[in-house]
Amino acid sequence: MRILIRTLEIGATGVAVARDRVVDADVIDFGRATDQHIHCNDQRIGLQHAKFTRSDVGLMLSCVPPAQAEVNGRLCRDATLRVGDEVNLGPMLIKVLEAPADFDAAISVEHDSRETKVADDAALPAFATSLEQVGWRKRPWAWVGITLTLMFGLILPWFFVGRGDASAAWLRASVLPSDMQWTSGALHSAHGNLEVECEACHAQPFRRVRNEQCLDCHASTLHQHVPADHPAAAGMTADRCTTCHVEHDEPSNLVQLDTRICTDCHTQPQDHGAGSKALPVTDFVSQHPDFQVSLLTAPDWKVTRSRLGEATLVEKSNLEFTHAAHLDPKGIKAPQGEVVMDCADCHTANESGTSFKPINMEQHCGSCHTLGFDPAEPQRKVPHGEPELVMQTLVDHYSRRFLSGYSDAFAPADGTTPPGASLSAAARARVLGTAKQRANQVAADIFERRVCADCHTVTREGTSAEPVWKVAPVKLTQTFMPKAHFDHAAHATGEATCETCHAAADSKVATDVLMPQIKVCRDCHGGETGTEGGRVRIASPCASCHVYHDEQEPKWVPVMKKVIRQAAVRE
Amino acid sequence: MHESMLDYAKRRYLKIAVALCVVSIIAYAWHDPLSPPNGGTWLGYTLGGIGAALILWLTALGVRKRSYSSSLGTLRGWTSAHIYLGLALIVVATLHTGFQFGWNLHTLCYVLMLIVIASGIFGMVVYLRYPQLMSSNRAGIKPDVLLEEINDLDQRALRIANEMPRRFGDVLRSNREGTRVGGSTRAILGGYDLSTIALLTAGGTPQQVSNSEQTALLDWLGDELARSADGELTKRIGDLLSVVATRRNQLRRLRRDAQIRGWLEIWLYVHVPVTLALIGTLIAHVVSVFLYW
Repeated sequence: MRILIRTLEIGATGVAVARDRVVDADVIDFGRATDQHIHCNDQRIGLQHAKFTRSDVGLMLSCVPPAQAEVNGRLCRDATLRVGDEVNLGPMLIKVLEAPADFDAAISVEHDSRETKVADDAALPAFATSLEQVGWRKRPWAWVGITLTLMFGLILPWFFVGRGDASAAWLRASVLPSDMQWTSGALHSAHGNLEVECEACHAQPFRRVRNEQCLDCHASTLHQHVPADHPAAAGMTADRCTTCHVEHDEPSNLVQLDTRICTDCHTQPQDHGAGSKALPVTDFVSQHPDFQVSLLTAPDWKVTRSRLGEATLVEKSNLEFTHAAHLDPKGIKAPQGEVVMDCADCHTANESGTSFKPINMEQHCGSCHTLGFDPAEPQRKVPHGEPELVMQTLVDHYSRRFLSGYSDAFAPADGTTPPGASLSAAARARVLGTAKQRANQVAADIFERRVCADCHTVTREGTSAEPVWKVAPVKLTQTFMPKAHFDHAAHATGEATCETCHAAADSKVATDVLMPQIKVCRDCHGGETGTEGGRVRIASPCASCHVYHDEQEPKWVPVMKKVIRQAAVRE
Repeated sequence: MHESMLDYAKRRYLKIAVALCVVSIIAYAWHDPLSPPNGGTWLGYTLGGIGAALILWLTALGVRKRSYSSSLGTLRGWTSAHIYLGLALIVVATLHTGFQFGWNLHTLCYVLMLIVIASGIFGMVVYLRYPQLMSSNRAGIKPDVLLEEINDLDQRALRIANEMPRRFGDVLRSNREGTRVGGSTRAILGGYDLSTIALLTAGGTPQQVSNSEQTALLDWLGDELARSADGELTKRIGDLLSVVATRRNQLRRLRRDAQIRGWLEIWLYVHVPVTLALIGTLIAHVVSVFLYW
């Protein structure tokens, strides 16, 4: 096919210029691609948009789907073209011309002038198809985000903290965000009063909380774990209170129960300056020495520390006593008849219930062990005191009796005085001498055989005419285990009785030490987790029995316990 | 086959991220501090340091993305690392908290971080899925070409209407003016058509009505077609119907394109500003912790 293509272009001067070219091909291509016979650089036009081929009557148009063409104002895909037909393809208008001689067909290609006109009439409204076009912005909000967070999260509170405590307090009371937002967790209830007083502990910016801040309140109650002259003391000074007492944690754990607090040093105490007597401890179950007891020992009442279980321990209190006799289930003879006693008759709990009041003769023994000596006057008693006072009481008693005509089977025959008789000085001296003898007789009886001798070790000294008795002093150990705290009240549960731990019923001598050994505790108490040794027991870290800061339980410990207990109840 | 950003370099960054998580979890399980686990133990400081460094480094992707001339790794490599290490950050930061949360700046920092990561996960999902939807919707035609085509169809329709009673031209011009693609966040993301058209009421006054999906116009043309007794007019109405139907399809595509692009972008409007808020909070978190040491 030989075709004439006449291209009409509007030149710079506005004059249409026609350019003819001759193409010899079976198919004339129209499209956006550069190899097309008729090239149209318009986005609406496909790379290969349409083809012109020869037909019986002239030309045949066929569009490459999905392209379409407008032929004489009608949309179509294929059309047979005759001379005079107009084909609208995007911006182009193609007209079929009369073919000159020697040509099979002729077309003109020109810019569709109507198009510009319509487009100018009403440009398509700009569609807001992107988020940015409907008002979304990243950058301003990013600035807002970083500015607000830095401003209110850091700069504002920091500024007020820097201006002093009063300013910081003012900000905390205001609705503005203050340094309270920096609190990573609540304080322990014991420190609740400091909740809005950050500077009480955080005294200096960028400095860790120092011991001085703790000692501001705790100096009077706090005691050193080891005395200042102890070899291990050097290693303790660097410790910070907050190493163990960590605040702002959840759950609040102000009093450190972790066993490692102790075992870090006590696993190998000698490495940390302890003497050779300090035994290694790793855990209550796995490795803990047998208990030691502090015993008061006659005659100088020095405290000796002895380990239970190593040998039969002897408590030298000078008291004559057996638990077995007193706890006889059949009862024991008493002025009021047979009495079955139990432990609490003598061991009465102290106010807190943790321990017991000291044993006291008048209160705990006196109701049975009456100090009467004269069956004729049973209410008359010797004092529980020095032997001299006892002797004086006896001499006084018998002198009064004999001078007032008292008859006594044991008295010398001429030693009594008829009632109402007045005595000569010589007779009076004789009667008093008799009374003295009688007093010595009774004294020997009560000091050496009954009453005093029931409980005390008594020795006789002096002459036979002027005997003198010495009573060995008695002191009972009040606290056997001062290095641990033990709460009796807390153990009065279930089937536990005193006998569970203290084998008193079988104790036949006063020197028996009835403190339980560690194995008794281990029946119920485990180590740190309570699951040691393949059994589930009560978890018992070191702090269950031992306190860190002092050998004796400091005064604040019970207070703290009360606070903790109340807090637990509230929760 | 196309290698997605997730499979980049045989999932090198997935392996690194998993290793980081595993090491962190093992360290956390093994670590047994005296106090409850928290950000202030040595492991807490370590995890916090790694987390903060990760946050700053992940943010650097935004900078690297804009720097086309950079030779510092490929953008796809950075994105792959960004995704995997960003996900690993959840583990690292959560362990750093020691599971202690409260109404404070520190937890705010953690929450902002989770929001950033969650929006990032959303972004990752749409980036894996939507570009494919987008190209199948476009079928090789760019949105601006679609616009040109719609313009072309409008011209065609108006040319046809030139030979018809005046009301046709009026309605078509009104349609052209009232056609909307997008126009509001809801319309873009929901793909709703807010187009309107002024049609003559029975009283003869024009009234603006919804022309969603060109339905009102097609109905109006249908009515005109049913009433038409003139053969030439009927033919032209038929032509108009064909043009309007084509126009509707092109608009639909354009709208769908805007919708897909909207979802591809929307998460970034959360991801980017919250990242900056996170960095502000992170600075406040780190400084305040040592300010009140």
